[in-house]
Amino acid sequence: MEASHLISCYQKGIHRTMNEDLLIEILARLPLKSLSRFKCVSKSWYRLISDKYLQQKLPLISTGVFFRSESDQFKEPRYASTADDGVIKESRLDFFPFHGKSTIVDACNGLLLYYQTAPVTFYVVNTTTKRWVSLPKPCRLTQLSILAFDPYSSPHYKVICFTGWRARGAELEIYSSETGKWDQHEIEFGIETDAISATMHYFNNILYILANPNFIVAINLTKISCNLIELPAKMNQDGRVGHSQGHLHYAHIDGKKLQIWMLKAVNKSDWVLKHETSVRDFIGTREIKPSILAFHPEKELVYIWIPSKMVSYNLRERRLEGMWKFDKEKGKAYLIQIWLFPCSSFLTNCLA
Amino acid sequence: MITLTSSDGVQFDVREAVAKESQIIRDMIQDDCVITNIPLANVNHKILSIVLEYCQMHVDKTEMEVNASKHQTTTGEGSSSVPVALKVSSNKNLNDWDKEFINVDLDTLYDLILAANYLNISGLLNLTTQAAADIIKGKTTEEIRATFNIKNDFTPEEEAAIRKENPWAFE
Repeated sequence: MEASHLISCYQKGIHRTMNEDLLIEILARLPLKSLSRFKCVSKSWYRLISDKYLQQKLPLISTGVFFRSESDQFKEPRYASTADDGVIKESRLDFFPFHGKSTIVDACNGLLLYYQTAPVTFYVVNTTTKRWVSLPKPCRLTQLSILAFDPYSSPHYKVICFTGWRARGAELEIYSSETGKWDQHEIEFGIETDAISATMHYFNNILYILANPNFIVAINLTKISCNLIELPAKMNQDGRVGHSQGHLHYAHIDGKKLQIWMLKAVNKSDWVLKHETSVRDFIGTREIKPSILAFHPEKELVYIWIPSKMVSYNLRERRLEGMWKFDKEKGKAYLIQIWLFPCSSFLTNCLA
Repeated sequence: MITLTSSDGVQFDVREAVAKESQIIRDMIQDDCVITNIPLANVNHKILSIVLEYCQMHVDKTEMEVNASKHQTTTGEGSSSVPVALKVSSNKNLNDWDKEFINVDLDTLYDLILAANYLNISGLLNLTTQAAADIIKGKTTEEIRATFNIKNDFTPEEEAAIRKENPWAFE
């Protein structure tokens, strides 16, 4: 075939759809705020920006909670987001007037939960849209407070307060943004309460809590019921539970090995060892301790904290993919947890 | 060597590896191995020379990297963390070069986006569309309409309703 003929064949196909496709390529690289503003440009821009096709092309937002240094662990946690240029930047929260008077007690997929002791008040802050609300006063004092928000499936969030502990269960007070009310409940864990750890993960209306020595307590927040999932191995301090491609994953670093399991069927505690690698793959020969931060919700990527930086490790290709460091003044900062989430309309409509 | 001819008839002789940065040319060469002259009906010589400068630089950098890692293997310094560090520093130089390269006026940028899309050069398409996004991200809706010559087809009421949906985007 003649080269010139080939080119014109390709050309016809491209020419027909070029303008809109290229505009989408540009729009997909805009910050969320510009994108939302540009819905006003014209009807065709509104349609393109609101369309699912563009929404799915947008990069995930990634945010995390950090301390200034490892010795700061009992001081106030801070909040940061990552940028394309490999930098982790502390988020400016001065739009929230109670930032200095209350403390971040939890975060989840772009929302922050603040607690103020006098008078007792919870605040929920949307860091993307810079909106915040104060919640009605709960009936009881909280001992542990968890924020549950999933921008994949709903603009509503819940706040779960553990208000009293029993030998094998707990008393709860749960706030739902959908009803605007707190409700009191009791649950049985099915194991000793002492076994419950502080490592949790929220997905699709279920709160997953790691428990010693080898369980996950899955609390269904609609039915207020518990389900025990047996872990594939004895959990250790660095264990992390999360979701990727719709499946629950468990990962830990056991000595020199990173191991990742995927749960095939919830009811049977049926795990498959998905990946096993030497920590040398991402720390080299240095004597440092990496920790697992999160799983990518869609891709075969795991995010790992190596003192002074975060890296993403591609499980399929067994190589490091991305690297993020704190900007200079936060050089000794220590990232403890991160969230990766889409900038869906659920996120921008939440509290907006 | 392959000869690429721009829409205005200027010929460019380039190494096959450089031309193959373009997916469309790569596919053509694979389909028919005797092609030596490719007319590019949609790219004029001014834009094509800029595109080829980009391809040349990226091919050179990749080849340098391959040579460097070969050198490393033969000298036996191949601990697992070193290649990553090397790759990162080399990417950093290339990123700096890209940043300088893409510092062009809006008309040229627009033509480069069209050319990168037409020739299917994914790296250049990423670079140019990101540059365009960086230019427009701080603009108001009125400035966007002026830049892209777009007519506002909303009624004032419709526009106010959309602003009300996303007040945070206008602060």
